[in-house]
Amino acid sequence: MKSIKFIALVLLVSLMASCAGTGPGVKEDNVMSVVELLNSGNSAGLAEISSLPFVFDSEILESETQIAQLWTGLAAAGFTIDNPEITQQRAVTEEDASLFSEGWEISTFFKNLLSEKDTFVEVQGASTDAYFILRRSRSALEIIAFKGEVK
Amino acid sequence: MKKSILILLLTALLAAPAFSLAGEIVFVEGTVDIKTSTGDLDYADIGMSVDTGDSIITGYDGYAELELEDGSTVKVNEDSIFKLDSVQQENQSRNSFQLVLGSASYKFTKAMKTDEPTIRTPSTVCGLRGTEFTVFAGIDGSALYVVDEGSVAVSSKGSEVELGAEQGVRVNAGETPGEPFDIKRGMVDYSAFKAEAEESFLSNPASSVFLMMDQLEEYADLADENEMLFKAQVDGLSVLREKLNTLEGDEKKAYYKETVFPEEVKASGLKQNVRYYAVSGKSLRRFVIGSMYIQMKTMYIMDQDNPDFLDFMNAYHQFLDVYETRIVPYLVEADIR
Repeated sequence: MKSIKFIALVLLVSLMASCAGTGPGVKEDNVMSVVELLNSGNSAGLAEISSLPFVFDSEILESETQIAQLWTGLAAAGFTIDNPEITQQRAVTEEDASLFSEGWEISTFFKNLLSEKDTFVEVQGASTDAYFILRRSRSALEIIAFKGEVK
Repeated sequence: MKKSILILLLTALLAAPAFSLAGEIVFVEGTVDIKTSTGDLDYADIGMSVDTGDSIITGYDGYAELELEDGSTVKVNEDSIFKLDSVQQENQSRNSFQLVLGSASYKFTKAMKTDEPTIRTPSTVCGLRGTEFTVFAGIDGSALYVVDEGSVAVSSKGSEVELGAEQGVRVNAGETPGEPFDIKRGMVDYSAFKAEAEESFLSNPASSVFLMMDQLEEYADLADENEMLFKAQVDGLSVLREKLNTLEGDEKKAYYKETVFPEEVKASGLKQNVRYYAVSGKSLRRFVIGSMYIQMKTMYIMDQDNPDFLDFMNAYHQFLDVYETRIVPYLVEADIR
């Protein structure tokens, strides 16, 4: 009986440890589902879960048209993340703004419109990398920011 | 001094309704958002009010009709960004309808004609003498004006052309208006104009950014000029206030009403203009340059050494430098929402 309790405790601690540092609310499956949308060129699906306003590199997008333009443009260019691996998944910080831009607008966006409940994710692929800021509210997942790079 | 500025800002806020123009959404279809002057973004719906400083943003399938207080209407077509605004000119408030990108059709009543709003795109301005016309603004900064009824004076780069009914004119960014042409009512092919504007942008993306940078610098110059006038006005007001404090009773009230208050209103109008030009610069960056950036970055994301892309990025960074140093100082954190 004691050993069962011990195993249960170990499992619980392991579970908690696996959750720590992964970013609040957002699970690995959530991230991979976003990557899958990107890899399958599902621009409508990506647009559907993109928030407004939205950060793309140094730009703040404020219209549905711009969001659609972004995802259809990336699909048309053939931007995918092959063999994706999540290398960072944690709560977003104000300092993460500099990855997108050093400008006042993006730093203000990160300071005022994001919180520690939002998740910073870095996904590395064979030839491309991507950075996302994701938010999970109740059952819905939102992409708040995206930056893609070719290695 | 700080207290005086605070009073002035409060005056500006209180005086704002005197300059304001309001309308109501009477029809909406597809994706349409309203961004308020305070930065809130909301889905547009019938009956929703649109006030000075608010923007209507339509998506691929979006369409909205706005009815103004006097019965004039503005129809905002798909893929467009339209802003209701006002600016102080010669001590008078003028309504300003800014089409940042896309197309909008205007039908003005005679009362509105008397108030003479200005119709703007990023590269052109039009004086209203007509009652019914459509304006298109392309991604390359070009504009197309088509008049159904009445007449419209379109000006750009110091040159003006007057259009009559069933006439149109194209204005390329950074150029004077072209030759007016005849066009039958309802026969405008906006998709062709849009495609031409995109083609023009893609044929020389860096040049399009530089043309927009000229426009941004013009907004920055006007914001600086109004800021300088505002500061001089505040200095002048502090002298008037010193005198006001030496007076008492009815004499004090009369002096405030006849001398100080009109100058306070003038100061608040100047501050309002600073905001107008700064926010116009922000719209230019957000919607025109932003759309250019999305198009170029996604197109060349797998080929970032492409010379066209490198030229574009060089121009883009120059634009951002001007924006950061000259427009951002006039923005407030609430502008980023």
